[in-house]
Amino acid sequence: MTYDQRVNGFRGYVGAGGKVEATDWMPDDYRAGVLKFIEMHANSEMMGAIPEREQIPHAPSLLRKMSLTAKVQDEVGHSQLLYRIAEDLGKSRETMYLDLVNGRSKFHNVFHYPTRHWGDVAVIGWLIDGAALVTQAALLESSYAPYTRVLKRICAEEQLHLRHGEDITLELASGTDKQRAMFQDALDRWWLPIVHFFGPKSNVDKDLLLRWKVKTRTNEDLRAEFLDRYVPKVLELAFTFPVPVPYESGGHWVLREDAIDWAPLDAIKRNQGPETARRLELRRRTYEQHAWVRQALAEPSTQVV
Amino acid sequence: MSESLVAMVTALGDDELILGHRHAEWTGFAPYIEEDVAFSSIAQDEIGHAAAYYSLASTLTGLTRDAIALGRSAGEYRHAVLCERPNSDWAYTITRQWLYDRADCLRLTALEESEHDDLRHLATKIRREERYHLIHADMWMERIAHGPMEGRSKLSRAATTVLSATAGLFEPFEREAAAISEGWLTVSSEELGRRFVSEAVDALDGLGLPAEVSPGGWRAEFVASSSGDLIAGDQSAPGEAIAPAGLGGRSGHHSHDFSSLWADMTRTYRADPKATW
Repeated sequence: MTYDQRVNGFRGYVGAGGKVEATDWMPDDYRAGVLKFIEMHANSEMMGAIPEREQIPHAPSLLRKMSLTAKVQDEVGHSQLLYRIAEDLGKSRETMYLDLVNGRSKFHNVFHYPTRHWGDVAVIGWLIDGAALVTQAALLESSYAPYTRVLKRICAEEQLHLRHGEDITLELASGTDKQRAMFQDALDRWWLPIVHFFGPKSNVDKDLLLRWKVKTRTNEDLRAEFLDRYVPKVLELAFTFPVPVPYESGGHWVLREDAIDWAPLDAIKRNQGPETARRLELRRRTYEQHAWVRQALAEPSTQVV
Repeated sequence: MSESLVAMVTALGDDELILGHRHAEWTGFAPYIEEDVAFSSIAQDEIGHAAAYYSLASTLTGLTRDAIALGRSAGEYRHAVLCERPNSDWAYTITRQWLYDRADCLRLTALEESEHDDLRHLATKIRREERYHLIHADMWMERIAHGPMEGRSKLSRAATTVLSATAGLFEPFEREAAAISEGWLTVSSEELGRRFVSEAVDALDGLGLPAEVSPGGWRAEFVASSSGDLIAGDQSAPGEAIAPAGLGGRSGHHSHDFSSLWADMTRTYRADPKATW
């Protein structure tokens, strides 16, 4: 059987809903595509820990301090699970880490932005986690089976995070003027990045991940689901949206395509977001500072008897 | 209401809160992923212990737990200065956790004899959790102490700095004499400190780490030889007019490190003290 015939057979298999295991034969493009996708997800959990951890010192109650720490801890744990399955596809964790800190790989756009105050914790925990959950739930049907198994666990924990974020939001929404202003300010800054989070309109013919069912739904489809689910809730709490302002049309909440400024997302794709350099530098420096710790753990005991 | 009891549990809660706050600063930036997850759990435990102590204080004073934790001015906190020091590096962090947990363990053992039922039960519960922290710290201390030179010398430096500053954990609580006569505390801080130094010096010696207690930290009577034997020091050492580094926390005297920690920690709470969060 030629390589092309095997690829065709593989395409037919995943096209019919077949699932792929790490040890199965797979086309090189499939392996590279899945690896890059999972690696980016792992990087995002790793970098996603940073914006929220910035607010742990400022948590306004002991319970919030503990739960936010626990949440960030979960995210770091998710990155560990994801790096592990990415490793099975043929790239070491260390190489992935070095690629990340040296700006050679990517992470989600929302983690390139700064946090300012407790309102950001509410928006991240509710709307950004909500957006992530929409995309991750869609990936549960992915053709790459090890990923779906990890995602099942991640989604379960993300559900808890979402409730945590919703809880913080409701506390602010029903609170004092100052608290409401905090949420509104954060929403004003985060709305465009959230819209970007789903990515530009998918090119169904060119997107290999869609063709091979690593992804099963288009970017615009996922964004539409998010808007229908969350826009009414935000409006119900009497907050307002900045540009691009969602409006109702044909029973759905939609955005005017030409109201979306894609320039910030394009900059982030070049790793030139507002916080990209600083956060990668933080990670890089920490990695270097801990070379001696890794060494201490790697070397067998050299105790002099 | 017993003022001596409130003073003591508040100081105990402050130690746990401030150290937990520092520990949580590692979340997302520990030396590697698995450790990040482990150390975050420890941070949460410490903050949880603080919450439990403050709850006890809350039943006695009527103040809410969060008002005690976040609503006081910086000078009203009673934790040891050691707890507020920045994390520095991993060697310092681990050494501090290791010595703190040993100190805490002794203190909790004494509190398990307290005449106060709630405090006694709380001490038992906390000590159970702290045991796991100590196992974690023991593992790290052994690995680093028996590992390559670079880590070992960092650990040596940390041991010297931290051990001196542990004196601040055993300064007497405010109204301690009353707490003892009422039976809330069965062993004085001074006596606990004496036990701690001898134990800590043994443990450090066991790892081949310097166990010299600088007279600047521990008061003269606690000065230890490098072999770990306690030797009597000169009580009236000339030129020791300045308060030794690391002392003063139990009476609300803190370092500049705490000014910024306090500002960060209470920022959101102070933004609107009337709000619920």
